[in-house]
Amino acid sequence: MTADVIRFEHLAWTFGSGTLDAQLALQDASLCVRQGEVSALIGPSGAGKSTLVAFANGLHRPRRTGQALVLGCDTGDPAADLGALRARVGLVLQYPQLQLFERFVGDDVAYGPRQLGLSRPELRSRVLNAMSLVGLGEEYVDRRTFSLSGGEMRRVALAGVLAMQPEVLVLDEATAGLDPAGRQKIHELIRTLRANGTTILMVSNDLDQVAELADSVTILSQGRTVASGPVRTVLADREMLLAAGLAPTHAAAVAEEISAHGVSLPGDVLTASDLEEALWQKLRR
Amino acid sequence: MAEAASLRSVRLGRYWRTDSILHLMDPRSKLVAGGLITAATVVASSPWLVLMLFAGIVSLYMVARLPRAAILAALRPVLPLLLVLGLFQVVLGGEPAGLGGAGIPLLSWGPIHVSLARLIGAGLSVARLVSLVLLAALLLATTTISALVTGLEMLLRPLNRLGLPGHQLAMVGSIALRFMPILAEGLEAVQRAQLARTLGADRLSRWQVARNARRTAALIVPLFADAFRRVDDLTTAMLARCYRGGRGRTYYRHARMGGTDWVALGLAAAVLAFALAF
Amino acid sequence: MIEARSVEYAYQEGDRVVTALRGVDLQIPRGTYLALVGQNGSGKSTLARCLSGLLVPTAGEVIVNGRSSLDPGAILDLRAMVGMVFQDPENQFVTSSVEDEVAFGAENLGVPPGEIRERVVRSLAMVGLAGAEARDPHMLSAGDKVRLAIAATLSMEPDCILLDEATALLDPISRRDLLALVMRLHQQGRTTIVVTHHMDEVVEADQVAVMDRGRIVWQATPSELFASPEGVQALGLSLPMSAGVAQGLRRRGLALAEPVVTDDDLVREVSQWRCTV
Repeated sequence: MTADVIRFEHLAWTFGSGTLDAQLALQDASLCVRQGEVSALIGPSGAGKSTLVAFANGLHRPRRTGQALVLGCDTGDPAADLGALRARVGLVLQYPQLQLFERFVGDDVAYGPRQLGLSRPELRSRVLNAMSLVGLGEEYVDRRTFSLSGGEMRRVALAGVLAMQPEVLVLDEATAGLDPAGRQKIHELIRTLRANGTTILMVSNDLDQVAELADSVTILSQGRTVASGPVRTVLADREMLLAAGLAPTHAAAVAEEISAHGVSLPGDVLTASDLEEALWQKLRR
Repeated sequence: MAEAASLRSVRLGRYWRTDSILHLMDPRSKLVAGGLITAATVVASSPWLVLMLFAGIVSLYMVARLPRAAILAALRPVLPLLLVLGLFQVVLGGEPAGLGGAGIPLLSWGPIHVSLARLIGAGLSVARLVSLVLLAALLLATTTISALVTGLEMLLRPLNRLGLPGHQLAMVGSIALRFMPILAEGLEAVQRAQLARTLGADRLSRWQVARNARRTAALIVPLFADAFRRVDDLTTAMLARCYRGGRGRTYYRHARMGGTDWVALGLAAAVLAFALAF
Repeated sequence: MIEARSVEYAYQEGDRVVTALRGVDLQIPRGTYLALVGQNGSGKSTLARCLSGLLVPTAGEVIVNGRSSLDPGAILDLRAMVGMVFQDPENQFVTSSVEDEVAFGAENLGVPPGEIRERVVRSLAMVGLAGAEARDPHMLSAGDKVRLAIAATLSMEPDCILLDEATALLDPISRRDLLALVMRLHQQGRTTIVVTHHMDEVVEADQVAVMDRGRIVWQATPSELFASPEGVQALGLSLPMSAGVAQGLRRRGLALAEPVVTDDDLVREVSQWRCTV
């Protein structure tokens, strides 16, 4: 038994497999997420990030090549109990408006936990609890799902997954299109869940966000894993980032600019607080 | 955004530019000839004729210099429907006339009798439908939406005299066609999203997801909500670009009938006449 | 000149009336780059739609180059003068080829076909999509879709381009490229209005208008706005990265001479240390 909650090895995926218009989305993708950590999957648009995370709860299953082990369950095994796996692994997909299907917000959030055979009050408290975690008050329970704004739908979709109280949470671009306050709220949520022992895999194309939140990171480029490891090590490798079609973090870019202007700063500046600290150290001297 | 690009491929309803004569034809003649061949496919009663029409339509894909993948891509979304339909025909369908002794059951199981004639009948129904789907996809692959609107509008012009809005009808029709592939993609996405939150079904099968009526409704609701949102967005975007129907509008593309167009129309009319005669 | 005078907008949703705008006054001189910011639901998009003639205010008026939204005959002129680009370009495309898409707006305005051709060529060149004429808009990359949506409004030759969170769904590199394109178009003299949540798009602006619950609660230059970090926080905004770093250094007791808003400000400020140390 290892401490790896998710372990993907050499996965490949082709859309429209078997037809002439097949599209190769993943070629050789590996990824490892350890118990209790926040792990990030980053890469430019079209790198295959969403395709890869769909392996986390058996939406995609390995064919011929590769292996996907999630919470000890080998999803490539035809006998694997994916229903049980989906109760433990919550996956929030990218387009919120396609994930909601009940008329009222409360019912939609309750869709998952309702299948767990909970008592009514228990179900209700779970639903309200999940909604408050994402900043939706009780008054939202009776709101119509399809009259919500994009940002609200995104939060309802997230609440629907949190209500299942998953051990592993997979978030695909959870903050796209949210305002700064909404992003902040999600960041706090990720920190809270992590403190409570939830393992999190987040997909993002925003390196600054990843530098702030993640413990480890995997970089995907054109369907291949090109780097993985602790966030500070991986994001410090500029050549690799550029080759993968990614830009260094905003703070790293500014630090480099400052160094180029004659005030040399250490090369490991990643976040805004790193930059502040580096400048402060420089000045005190 | 990440996977949108890789999911997008040659699909039913996508425009696919090559420099073939079909691409250069006037949209009006394509629409009329397409209509004539559609009629021929529907009325054709002889199995041989249906097969010949099918072969003819497939060879038009070669004429259009479309990738062979386009044929399969056009058929993929309707494949389950065709299979179900074919099965129904085998079990419950009629038998085409003039097949002599083929009506003797090969297999009997209670009230169900499967005969060679029924198998042929089912095959023909499916072949007809496949032909029609391929024909529609061919039109969309070789004609841009703008050209289609222009063509339809010109054909519908006589309706204006009756007080019907020809331009709007053409626009609505063309945009409805445009939405087909988008809806197909949406359906896939909804199915996946739902499966991600469903604990019972442990196999990724369309059939199982669609099996339960409640779940089917649950597929339709978000799909339609999404479609309405898209239609709303599109309408707003059209208004933002000063769309106000056909009034005062000029046309970037000119439809002009050439020799090829008249030949195509003649051929299509001959095909229909032939189908009616046999 | 684009002007909003006491603009109000309310609509019915089910059995309740939603008031999205509660009296907005705004003046945008020709050639200005204005960033419109505020929390989700603060009324930014509704105001944008009023400015571009897509919504008619329920009270008050919008005046663009002397044409008022109160005159029903001027609505089309408003739409032609303020070209609007929306968040999800995928849903904005009417046709199935890039050049037809660009031509669509000009066709609607009744521009002669010969001139439409010139405009198509010019608009595509401006956004860097020359050569993509025959492609299906839905097959373009996410960034190119936004470029096409911009080209499609340029063919109407608008005085003003209004981007309503048009880059929100792009990755950082594509967004930076798009921002550079918008700056180029702005430098050619177009009034530019950008509705955004990204502070790096705000720092480039001449003016920032902050919306909260249907009103403009603050209108200033970016440096004036970001000089008050507490105010920024209270409005649900965030500081640009460099401004945040400068604020942290000040809090630690470091005296920075100049206000720091952009990255360049910070670099300039810091590089002066070399001389004094």
